[in-house]
This record gives sequence, structure tokens and C-alpha cells, in this order.
Amino acid sequence: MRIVILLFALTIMVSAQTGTVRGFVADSTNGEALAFANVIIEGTTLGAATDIHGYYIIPLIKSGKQLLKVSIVGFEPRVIPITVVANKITQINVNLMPMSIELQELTIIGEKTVKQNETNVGLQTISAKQVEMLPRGLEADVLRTLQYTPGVRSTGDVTGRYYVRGSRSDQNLITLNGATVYNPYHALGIFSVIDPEIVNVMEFYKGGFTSQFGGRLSSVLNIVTRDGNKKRYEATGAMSLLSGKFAIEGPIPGGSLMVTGRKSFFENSMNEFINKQETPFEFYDLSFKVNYSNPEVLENGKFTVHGFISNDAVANKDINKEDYTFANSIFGVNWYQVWASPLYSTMSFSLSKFDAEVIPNKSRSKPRRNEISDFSSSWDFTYMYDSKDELGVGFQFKILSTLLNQESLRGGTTELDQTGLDMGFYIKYKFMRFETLGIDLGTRVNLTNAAKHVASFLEPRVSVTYAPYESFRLKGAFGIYTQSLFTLSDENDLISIFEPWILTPDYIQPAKAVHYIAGLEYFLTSQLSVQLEGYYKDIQNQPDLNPDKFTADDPDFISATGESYGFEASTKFQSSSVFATVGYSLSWAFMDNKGFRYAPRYDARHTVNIIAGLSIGLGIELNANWSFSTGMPFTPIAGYYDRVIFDDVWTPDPVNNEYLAVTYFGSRNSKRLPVYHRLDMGLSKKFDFGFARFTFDASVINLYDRENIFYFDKDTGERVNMLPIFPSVNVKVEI
Amino acid sequence: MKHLSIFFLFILLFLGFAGCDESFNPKEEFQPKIIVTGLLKADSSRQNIVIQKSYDIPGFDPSQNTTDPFISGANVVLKVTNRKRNINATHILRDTSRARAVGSKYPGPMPFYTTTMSGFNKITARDTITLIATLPSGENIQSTTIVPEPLNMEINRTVLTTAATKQNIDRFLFTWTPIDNAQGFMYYPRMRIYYDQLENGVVTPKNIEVPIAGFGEGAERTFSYPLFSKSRYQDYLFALVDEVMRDISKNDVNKQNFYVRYAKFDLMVYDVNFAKYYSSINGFLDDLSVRIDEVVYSNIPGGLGFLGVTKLYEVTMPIDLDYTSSFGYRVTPFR
Repeated sequence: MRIVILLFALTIMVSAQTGTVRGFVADSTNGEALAFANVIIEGTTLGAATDIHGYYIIPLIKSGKQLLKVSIVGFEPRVIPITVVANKITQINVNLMPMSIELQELTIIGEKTVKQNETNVGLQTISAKQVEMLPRGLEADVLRTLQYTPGVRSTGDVTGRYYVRGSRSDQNLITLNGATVYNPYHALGIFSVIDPEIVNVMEFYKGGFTSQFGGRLSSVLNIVTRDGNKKRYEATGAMSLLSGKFAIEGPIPGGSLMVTGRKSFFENSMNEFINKQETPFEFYDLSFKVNYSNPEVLENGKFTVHGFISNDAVANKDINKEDYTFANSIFGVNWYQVWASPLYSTMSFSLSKFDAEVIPNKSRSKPRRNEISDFSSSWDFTYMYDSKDELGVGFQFKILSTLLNQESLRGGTTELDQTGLDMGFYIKYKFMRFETLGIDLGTRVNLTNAAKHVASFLEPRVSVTYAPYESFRLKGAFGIYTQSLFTLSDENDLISIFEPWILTPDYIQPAKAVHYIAGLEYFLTSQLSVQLEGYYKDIQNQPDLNPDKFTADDPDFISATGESYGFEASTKFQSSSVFATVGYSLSWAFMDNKGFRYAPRYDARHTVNIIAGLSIGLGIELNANWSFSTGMPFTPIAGYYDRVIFDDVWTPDPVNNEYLAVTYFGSRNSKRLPVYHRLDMGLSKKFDFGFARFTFDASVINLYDRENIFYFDKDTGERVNMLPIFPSVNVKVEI
Repeated sequence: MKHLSIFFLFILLFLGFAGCDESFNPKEEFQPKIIVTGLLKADSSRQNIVIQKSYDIPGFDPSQNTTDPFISGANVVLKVTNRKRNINATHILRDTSRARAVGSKYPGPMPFYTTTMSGFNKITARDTITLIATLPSGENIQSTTIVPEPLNMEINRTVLTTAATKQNIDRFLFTWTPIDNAQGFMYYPRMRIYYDQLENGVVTPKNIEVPIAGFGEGAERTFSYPLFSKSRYQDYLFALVDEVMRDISKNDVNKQNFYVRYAKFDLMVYDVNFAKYYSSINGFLDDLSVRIDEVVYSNIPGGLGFLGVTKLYEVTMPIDLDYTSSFGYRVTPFR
């Protein structure tokens, strides 16, 4: 008790002589918020990084004249003299000027954070610039960017679908300006629906995410789109072999507006891309964002209205084949407010809908339809104490409706019409008062669950950072996570076309996972850093296909268990002209289905990613990426036999009926495909010509034409490979 | 410059090597399995069992296999036990064969095992049947199944007519329940109308199945028929029965060329093992499941295939003469 009193006394004494500085950091040319900028008080260890809204707050600054230094990659740093008033909050908004093309050096987000004790286990922040800088493949893609991260795995060249630390892909939460995106893929996963041009910043949590996020077991990708140019009108167009897109943005009274669109036209070029298969894919997406932040009306506040629609069609020209349509539509309203006290809040309402339909035409398929409607609202408040501690509370509710209509091949119909309410709140307290220790302690409290059963009333989360030295940090995290929705898909399927979302059926419990994460971060020099992280994930009640489903009445799913564990290492080197990262992960993932333990398709023992970039001046950048991965598990052919065909159910007879030679298979996923590796290289050149800025990108995928196996056809034994060597060109014009 | 050349040569060699294909075999080491096809018929004294071995082939097309996998020379025994019936009998099956179709890829006749007509009594409800086979190679295989218990069947109308009644019913309803209410069986119902048609002076017996639903109109009209399921009832709308009755003569203006004899309701019952086997190979999985690895049920420990039982129930419904004459059909049979 004496210690607590002493602590408070010290806090009061310190705050009596100190003040707080806060504000927003933005791009001076367009007013766009700059996330993850470093803001420090020169000559002290005090500092902060801006959040996704560009907001920073630094308490406990000694009153008097100080120098505020603001820096972020790609922008000219600024040092601003400020006067800190004791016991007051001083607001300093800072605009940074982008470096010119000639001066711009190759840079990357993710550099040393200013807060030594920041509790950010498993968090990776990715800016739009970083998406641009990574090897593009065919086109820059936000979800494919994640696959370069240790612990993130893909199952093919032609899919943006990703698996994080041995978990299913439907256990990844993707939010766009706070609204959940249910179908983040275009063209069966070849692209993500989020055009990188509209992205301002992404936060990617590989695990151990704090109590603010819920509803998924594995990872969180929080995407914040750009507000649009607040200074001048701008139009951008870009074309590649696969798609064309545009963006129009500009100021409006008190804010800004941005409208973007993208349309595919890749039917011919895609034939090469996916092994000369027919590519009847078409897609488009449109988005808008209106941002209102008039300080005369809404001081330190920002009000945004955003919308997004995407539409995909798999339109076979053959009437004997089925067609598919998929559509996302998202509408949301956000209000971000920094209050007079060191309190800021975010309130949001969003409606996210996903519709998918199978149109059978004259094929043997049956019509199927899935709808999901998600109306969500959240109120988040964060209060920063003078001690630098933070208190976060939030209330969230989500009304989920799922509808699944389908008909079996024999005419049986299924209609699953479910509605549920996820309602709960979270509370977290971030101990940041100690220079070398940070603790984020919180819990989610699930008052109701959209599925019938509540997997866990409490979801406690803890994240700890201990930094005994300036260049060395130890990190750890623990958390319990639940999920009430999942997709009806088999993760062993190569490409799932129709993947309806449903609420967990009443006959099984919603899935639950426990994460244990520990790691360290070491800055060997200011240019070279190493990160090591180990994890263990225990999954209960994961819906898995019922292996004993032999009749229509048998349940489709059973509660399986799973576990994954692994170790990840990454190192980054960054100099004025060279950027390189090497990432390695050693991992195991298992599922246990009715006592049968097997490695799911996304299990990979070893994964290596080496990314290198070289800036050679005059706006020219070279980049390369080499990826290596252990082959995916697959179920081998065990042999063949002649199986009787009972064509007439009324007179079945083993002697007089015909026999057909068929294949039978060995244990599920008991063998592995050969190792995967691929080298991609790219060249990018930016130049200004007249009133326009041109960006020219050329890249070669699979430079040494490695024959990476995608799958083998079990009927014919034919081997189908992933991408062969594939050159591509992109041109972007900004006016 | 020399060092640079060596460096690039090394890189080229590495890339050339790395780009090479790796040998890949999608097969695991072959371990032959015994496959039993044993579908027994309840209330029959003739039972056939087929035994084969799995095989491997150099490629991936099993239809190219020409080595006969069917096994002769095995000792095959069926044990029938039923405490209530006080039965505990063992029957040795006869090793026999049948001629294969002309052009068969396998040489010689197809071997199978059958009961001897004189020595095997009919298997009936609740009998436990155990198959024990010893192959010429010395391998043993054993499997057991139980004959489905009898059903209680009920029909809401025993005569084929759709005439209105006080109960205001609009359909035929067939219901059935296993006497002990056992679960796991599957049922395949069918209702057919049997009639004779005079064509070119010749009377031809024919039948037509009654659908459970109709879609569309005119030439586009299609029908659906019952499926196998665990459902314990089946109904047939009077309107569809009437439609079938009309369709019998739709291409013949002379309605007196038709004589409707009776209707029959058939119910095929699959025991638990055959129900699962049949479902797993005939795709009655609803489309909620997406599978790339085929799951085929087997109750042959260590092997593949199945031992199961079917039983057919039949209920005949006489025709109501007023009803058949309302369509203009004959009320007396052809002579």
C-alpha cells in the first residue's frame, strides 16, 4: 500500500512540472494522415508513434522550450520548436513534405518504434508505400503482401488466400475502415478485393491481438483507406495486363472525397497465369470515402462516410457449365474524436453484406445461394493518464444473419436461415509508466453470442514487453479467442469456389483458441534488426468435416481440435540505398478429427522469404524476392480396385452388376508435395513528365522457371504446376 | 572481371539446377487390400459374395489393368445366428463363376461365392450374419451385419382412387416404422401404376412411376421422384396421381386401349452398412460438404467393400373402377 501511495505521489510531483503534447501528422501535399510516424522530444527518451489516424500524444514532457522531431520514411523530417506548458495539453499538428523522387531513398515501415516498451507482439504495420515496394508479381496486392511475412502461408501462386500460424483462412479477420470484409478475394483468390491504391495503412496482427479485436481465432488485418487529397483535385489511372483502374480525389468544403474503381479485363492474359485453364472471371470494385474534418465545426474530430462494393462473376460461356456470382457491399460511418482531455474515441456503424450464388444453367450443379448480413457498431474510448498508462474500453455489438439455400444433387433442399447477436464489451489497461516495461492487460466480455452457444464468457488477453536495453526487447502475449462464424469449405480443397459463411450449427460449440507467444527484438545497429518469435496455439471445437458422414442426415461437421506451434525469425537491413529482409519460419500444424491426427494442407515445416531492394537513383528501384517452402501435405493414391456399380437400386447384385475400376487413397495428407521455391524480380521507375507523374513497373515472376507443383489430378495422375516464368508490365499515370 | 564471370556462371548453374523438375510420385507404397462385395437379400436363400484384391498399375488409369483381381479358391463361410429364432448355422459357400461379357478385359469367367440352394435357409429379420473368408494366400477376413427388423407399414387409403372423402385428404400417405424403432436404415420408396395397353392388336403390360413433385408446364414439365433417405414416410399428391393416370394415355385418343390393373408401393430397405456404403458412393451427401478425397464406407476390417443386407417390401393397391373409368379407361381386362 505504501508503494502505491508513493507511486501516486511521485506521479503528482512529476506531472506538476510537465505538460503534454499531442497532435496530428499529415502529408503536406494532400493532407493524408501519416500513420506510424515517429514523434520524439529531442534530447529525451520521450516520444510516440502516430496511430492509424496520424494522432500522437506525448505526456510527461518537461515544461518549457523543447524541440519536437517528426520523421517517417519517404518524407523530409522536421524539427519544430515548441513550448510545453505545465499541466496543459499543447496541440502541435505537423505536416511533412514528401521527398522528391530523386532524393527519395528506398525505405520501409517497421523501423524501431519510439516507445521502447510498446506492447505490439505479433503486430506488423504496413503502409501503402510498403505494398508498392514489395515485388509485385502480376500486380501489387495487399493480401499477397502478407505472404512475405514469417508465419503467413499461401497454398499456391494464384491465390491471395493466406493462413496464419497454422490456422484456417476463415479465422483471419479482415476489416476495411472498421467494417468486416467477408469475401476479400477476386477471381477465386487470385487478387484481393482491396485495391492497394486506396490503402493508407494496414495493421496486421499475426496473433496475440489485444481485447479490442474479437470474432476470429487467428489474425487481424485492419485496413484503413486514404481520405483523399485535401489540397487539390487529382486523377490517377493505371493499367496492367490484367486490370484497369482509376481514382479521383479532391477537397470538399471541410474535408475531402475519394472515389476509386477497378475492372478486370484479363481473360486472355490469365490463360497463361493459371496453367492455360479457362478463365471466365470478371470483376469490378468501387469505393468511396468522404471525410469531414472541419476544425471550426469538429475540432480535433473527423467524420467519415465510406462505401465499398465489389462484384465477381465466373461466367462460363458454356451453357452446360454453372456460373457463379459473388458480391460484397459495405457502408459505414466513423467518427474519430480527440477530446479536450487526453481522451480519444472512435465510434463506428457499418453494414457489410456478402452474397454468393451458383447458377447451374444446364449443368448437373444445383442452385446455391449464401447471404450474410453484418450490422455492427462499436464505441471505443482510450484515455491516457499523465503516467503514460492508457485505459481502453469499448462496447461492440454485431447482428449477424446468414442464409444458405442449396439443393443436393438428388433434389434434397437445405435452408439454413440463422440470425444472432454478438454483444459484449472489452476493457484493457496499458501499463506504460515504466520506461522498460509495458503491459497490456484486458479482457473481452461476451454477453451474447451469435451462435447458439457462448464459447467463452471471458476472453482475457495479456501482452507484455520488457526492454532492459534500448536495443533489446523481450515480448510475450497470451489470449483466448472465440469465433462463431465459419465457412463451409474444406481447407484441403485446392480452389474453393463457393464458400458460404454460416453461424456455428447448434449441435457443436463455437471454436475457441488460446495463443501463447514469446519473442525478442534486437537492434544490432541502427540499420540491422533481428526478431525472433515462438508461438503455440491450441484450438478447440474447430468445425471440421465429419469423416463419418455417409448419409444426408449425418451431421456435416464435428468439433475437431487443433494445435500449431512454431518459431519465426526475421532480420531486416536498411541503408540509404539497400533494403533487405530475411524471414524464416519453422512450424507445425495439426488437426485431430475423431482421433485421427493429420497435418492440414496449409502446414509447412520450413518457409523462407528473402526480399531485397536496391535504389540506384533517378527514381529507379530494383527488387527481388526468393521464396522457399516445404511442400504441402496431400493424400496419396494407395491403389486401385474394381467397384460394383448399383445402377438399379431395386435389383442390386454383386455378381451380375458391372464393375468399374476406381482409385482409393491412403491416409489423409500423409505425403508431401515437392518443395516450392521461386524467384521474382522487378524494376520500377518513376518520372515526371509535364503535368503527370508516370510509374513504370516491369517484373518477372518465377525467373528461373521452377516447376512448382500445384496439384496432381487424381483421376489421370496429371501434374499441374503453378506459374511458369511470367513477365508483366504495369503503367500508372497520376495527373 | 574473371571473378564476376565465375560468379554469374555459378548463378546460372544454380538457377538451371533449381528450375529443374523434381521426381514426384503421388502414390504411396502399394499394400494390397482385400475387397468384399457382399450384398445379401433378406428372405432369400440365394446369397452371392464377390472377393477381390486391390492392385497397382504403372500409370494412373486403372481401366488399363488386365490382371484379374477377382479371387477364386477361397474358403467362404456365412454364419447365421439369431437367439430368438434359436438359429446358429454355418454355411460354406460354393466357389463358382459366371461367364464375363464378350470383350471383357479380364480373361476367363468371373469367380464368386454362392450359397447352395438346398443347404441355406432364408435369412430373416434380426439375423446376425457373419462372413468369414480365408483366401488362398492364407489371409483371413471377417465382417458382420444384421438383417433389418420388420416394419410396421400403414397407408391412409388402401384403394387407388383420388375421390374426395370427408377427411378432406389430398394425398396418399405411406408410413413405416421398424418394430423396435431401430435407427440407421435407409429407405427407397416407389409407387407405380401397372396397366395394360393395346397396341397394334397386342396387349403390353406396362407401369409408370408416380412422382412426388412436378415443375413447369407443357413440354417443359418435369417431375421428381423419391430418393433414398432415412425418412419414414412418403406421400403422393392426388393431383399428381391424376396427372399420371392421364399421362398413361396421352398419346392415344382411344382410352379404351388401356386397362389399369393396380398400383404398387415398393419400399427397399438398406441395412445400416449397405446404407452407408451406398450413400458414400452415390453422392447423397448434401452439398454442404466439399471434399476432394473420396470417403467410401467399409465394414471390412483391414480391407475395402462391405457386407450388407437389403429387404424389399411391396404393398399392392387395387384400382377403384369408378376412378379408372373417369379417365375413359376400360374397367375389364383385355382377354
